[in-house]
Parts: sequence; C-alpha cells; structure tokens
Amino acid sequence: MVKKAGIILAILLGFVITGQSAFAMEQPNVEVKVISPNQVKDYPGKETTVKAQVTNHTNQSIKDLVVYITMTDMGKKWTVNLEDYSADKPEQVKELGPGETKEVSLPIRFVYTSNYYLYVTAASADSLDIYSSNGIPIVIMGNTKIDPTTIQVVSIATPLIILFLVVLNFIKNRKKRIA
Amino acid sequence: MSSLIKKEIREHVFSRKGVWIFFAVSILFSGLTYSFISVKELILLAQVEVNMTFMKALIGISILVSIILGSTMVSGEREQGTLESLLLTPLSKVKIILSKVVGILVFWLIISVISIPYFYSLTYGTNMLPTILSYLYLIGLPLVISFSLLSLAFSTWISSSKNATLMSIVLFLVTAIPMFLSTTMKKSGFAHLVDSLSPVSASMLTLKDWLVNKLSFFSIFMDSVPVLCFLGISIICLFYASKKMDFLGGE
Repeated sequence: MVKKAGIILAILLGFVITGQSAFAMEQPNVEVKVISPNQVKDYPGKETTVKAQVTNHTNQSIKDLVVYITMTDMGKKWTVNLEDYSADKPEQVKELGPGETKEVSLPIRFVYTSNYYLYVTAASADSLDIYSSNGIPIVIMGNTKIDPTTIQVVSIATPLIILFLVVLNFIKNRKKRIA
Repeated sequence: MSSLIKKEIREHVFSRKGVWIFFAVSILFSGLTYSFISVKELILLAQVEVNMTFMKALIGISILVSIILGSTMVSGEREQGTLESLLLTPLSKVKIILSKVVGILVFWLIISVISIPYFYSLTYGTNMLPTILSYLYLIGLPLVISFSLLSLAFSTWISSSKNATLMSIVLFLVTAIPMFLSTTMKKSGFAHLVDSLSPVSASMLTLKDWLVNKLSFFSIFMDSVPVLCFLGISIICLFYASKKMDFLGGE
C-alpha cells in the first residue's frame, strides 16, 4: 500500500515538475506586448504612437533595457530603414524590477506605401537574449491612382516614337540631298 | 507670308536640330515621369502635386527652349547675312516677325503635344486632364509666347545672338527668382516686389488656385492678370522692335 502510494506520489511529482518546466519554457524572462494600436490602415504620412508594455518575469531587476520599434516590409519582403519613418530613436528603461511592468510610447510616421508587420523589441545590456512582441499588421495605401505600368509604357514608348520620327526625318533629308 | 512661315517651320521645327530637341524633351519628360513612381520621396506626393510638378517642369523647359529659339531668329539671320534678302521681300517687317512668332508657336505646340501622353498617365484615374490641358493652353501658352516675343525683340535690337540669348535667360531667371525663395522671404523687400510682379509667380499661383484650391473663375482670372499684362508688354516691345529691324550699319 505504501509502495503504491509512493509510486502515485512520484508520478504526481513528476507531473508538477514537468508542468513547471514547460511553463518556464513558455514564459520568457521579459515579455513585450503591443497595447495599441491593434492595426493601422491609412495613407502615407500617418503619424501614430505605438504603446507597448514590457514586463520583467524574473526575480532580478533588469538594467538598461532598450525598447524600439521594428518593422518588416511584407510587400517588398525587405527590412525597413526606421530613420525614414522617424522611428529610429529607442525608448530606454533604466531599471525594470522583478515582476515590474512598464509602458513605453514609441512614435512613428508611416511614409511608404506597402504592407508591414510592426513589432516592438527589447534588448538589455545584461543579456544577449532579445525579446520581441507579436506583430501588428500595418497597411499603408497609395494616395494616388497613378498606374506604374502606364507610366512605364509612356516613359519608354514616347521617346522611342520620337526617335523613330527623327530617323525618318534624317532618311528623308538624306534622300532629298542625294536626289 | 505663308511661304515664309513654311520656311521658319522647316528651318526650326523639322530641322535636324528641332527634332533632336523634341527627342531630348521627351527623354526629360520620361525621366521626370518615371521618377514619380521610382523615387521614394516623389512616390509620397499626392497626384495633384505630381501634376503640378510636371506642369512646372514643362513650362520651364518650354520657356527656355522658346527663348533660345527666339533670341537667335533675327540676329541669326543678320549673322548669316540672310536678313538683307528677307527685308527685300515685299513683306512688311511686322509680317516677317509674325512668321517667326508662328514658327516658335508651332515648336511649342509640338512640345505640348509630346507632354499629353505624360499628363494622361499622371492624371490616370482622376478627372484632372481637362483642367490640366485648359491651364496649359490658357495660361501656359501666353506665358511661353510672352517670353518668346521678348527674346525675339532682344534678337532684333541686339545684333549678337549670344547677347540676345543671355538677355532673355537673365530676364527669365529674374522672373523665376520667387520660385526658389521661401514663403517668408517672399513676404518683404525686393523678393516681394518681384513675386507680386512676376508673370512666372502669377502662373504658378493660378495653377495652385485652379488645381488645388479650386477657386472661382474670377479669382483664377485675377491671379493670371500679371501673365496677360506681360503678354501685352511683350507684344508692344516686339512691335517696336520690328520697326528697328534693319541691316547692320554700313550695309
């Protein structure tokens, strides 16, 4: 009976330990969460402030935390130069105590037409671990109805037509001179 | 007179120099138009701004080309020694000058026709094209012709083509100064005086009020008054200059 109880206890203990380690794997030391906005769909020039929450889940304080915006251009499959978006200046959190949560405000001005994923990243001088929030979708719509294909066709065809007329004119004049 | 007009068109419009200028202008237009879809900063411009920028470029290029053409027309004839035979024809001096004006006009009309496909592509999806073309022919044409007439007058007064061209370009640059100044600078002093009198500034204000501010016909007309006054002054100058058109001293 004691033996059976010991086995059950051992199994239960195993569950607890495994559960804790699984929880520990899911829970990062620092959690970054974008509070607002949930998404952006607007025209170039739209200015907004991204509010994010940074939480320290460890039992030690984290010093000199740098929190900044990161964006990926999903339309062009590129990274973006945040300087163009006036979002290259990070927010600094001098100290984040154990279990403490701080809110940061990061301004950004969307300038180029495309689809992006925006997320907030936090990095500390104490560790090489980098923590990022989930992405929020950003859609910056073109404010013109200009059709790039039409522009390309006109930009190439017009000089070519004129060049053809120049050559025609040259041949005509040459024939005249010979005659 | 029609044969003289034909001669001017043949010599200046359909000459090798003329057609190469059209080709160069189309390359310039293509470069500018293409930059509106390829240069990061220009992609951000609203469509009306894009068309205003293109219109400014078109008017600037048209004025430069037509003043270079106009300033060499009479003095060039004098330098080549063909002015004598021209003056010996039964045509009056005014008619001779008018035929040269028609030559410049045809030249400019071809440039404006070249610009139409570009305007079509830049106004795509909007109803701006009729307004753009109305502006081009109602305000752009008098402005370009005014500068051409003055350059022709300089060409008649000054015997050297180089000096006539230089005078015309200086006049254009002085009238275009306000375009390069900030709004604050234009509010006082010499810049304010030039800005309020300049036909180039007036034409740009007309363009803005017509396309962006969508003001009434009366306001747009009032904006364009300096352009029309400049046209009147240019016609008077050319009329007096045509009377002075003569051989070089001693000929």
